Amino acid sequence: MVLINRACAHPGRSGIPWALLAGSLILLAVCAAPAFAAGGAEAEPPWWVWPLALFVVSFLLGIVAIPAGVGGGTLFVPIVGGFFPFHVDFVRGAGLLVALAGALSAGPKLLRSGLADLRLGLPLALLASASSIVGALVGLALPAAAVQIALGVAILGIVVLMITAGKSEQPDVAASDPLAAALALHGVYRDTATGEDVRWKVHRTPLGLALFAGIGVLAGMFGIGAGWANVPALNLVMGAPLKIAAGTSSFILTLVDSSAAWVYINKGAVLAVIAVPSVVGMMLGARIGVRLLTVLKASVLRRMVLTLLVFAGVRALLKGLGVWP
Amino acid sequence: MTERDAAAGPPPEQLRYAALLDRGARLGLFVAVVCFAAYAVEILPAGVPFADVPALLKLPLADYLAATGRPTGWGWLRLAGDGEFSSLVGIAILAGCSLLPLAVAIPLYAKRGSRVHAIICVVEIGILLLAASGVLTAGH
Repeated sequence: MVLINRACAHPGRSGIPWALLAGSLILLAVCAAPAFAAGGAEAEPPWWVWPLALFVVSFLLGIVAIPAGVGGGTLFVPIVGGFFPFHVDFVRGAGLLVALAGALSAGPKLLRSGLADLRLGLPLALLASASSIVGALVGLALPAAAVQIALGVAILGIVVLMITAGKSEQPDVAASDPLAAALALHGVYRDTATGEDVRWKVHRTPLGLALFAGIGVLAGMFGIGAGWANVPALNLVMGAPLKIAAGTSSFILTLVDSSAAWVYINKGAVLAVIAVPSVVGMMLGARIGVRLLTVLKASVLRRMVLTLLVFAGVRALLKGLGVWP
Repeated sequence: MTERDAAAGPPPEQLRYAALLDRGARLGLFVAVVCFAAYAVEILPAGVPFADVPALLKLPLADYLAATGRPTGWGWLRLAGDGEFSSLVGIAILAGCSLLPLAVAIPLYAKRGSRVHAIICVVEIGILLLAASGVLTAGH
């Protein structure tokens, strides 16, 4: 978030991310071509094409997704599920690992810096991780077409949420609710931008817990992580400062995605040939993306991610409906 | 619980948790990448012939399992010497690396008088172990 704010102060060079977007779409079209020709076993590409293509696509997605504040899994699942000829079960298993690896990469740093709060995150993660198991079990029991339709609707819903949901750097919380007080959900962090100590507390904890239970189901069902929902729930509903919300969301994801990932692993839906190149590509891409943020406008990245999400959501929906198989 | 000064930094249980989580995540990623590289360059034997991989990835999960004879649950551990399954060791470390930090946080929270958070850590460990056990996915 600090990086995003910093990036806003560096206008210009907006052509670079759009070139990346165009490159990604061309690459996806190339990847989708064999899918259209499915059935022609003799036209099968060599096996190494797929891990290489996954690495490149995940790398490009990592450049734009994580710096734009969207978890890697949110873009990975609909795009790879829509344009690669893999069954959606394997894509969701890999998507959870992409999201988990991203959260594990950022979580410890955020906990050390105080921007993630363990006390705040633990009760929410408890409910979300339990419900993510339910979501994963339900998701793996559903037919692929139903999953694609639901995924398309969910992704387009995320776009609406990203466009309409506001954000509040420092929400005004008059008083903690009794549950928040009992769980000691308050704290203080140092804002490095201003050098000031910011005291915070949360409210509406029962509603927040209920929301996180629902978020966990979606995360497990679609393998898309849940940062897109965690941050608004923490910030806009519970009143956590935006930086604490974003940091604590990463920590929560380490537990939510772990629970759901175990279900996919035990079901045999996590394949190294899909998961490992995707995880490595996404993590390397995110490193480049964080550096690009110093020269690019965050608003441009955000628009690009929204464009990709609309494209991927419509693709998933049409694939599920059989209109664009 | 008294509120700490921001200058004092995060509480000790949070710092300990972060350090252990970081080490576990790095280890898991390292193992997964090294094993996958060994699989890709055929240092480790491929359980499924490479030529069959592209076609198999298109199959629904049940058909894939039937076609490859891949075990569910923890059965893959018996085949961890095969390239495809060796990377799952690293992936399992990634998915399980929160267990140790949670366990270490329990006595630290108890010592600080935060029994609720100690209990939450215990229950979270139970949830993760339940998911990892394969009990919930057995028989499908």
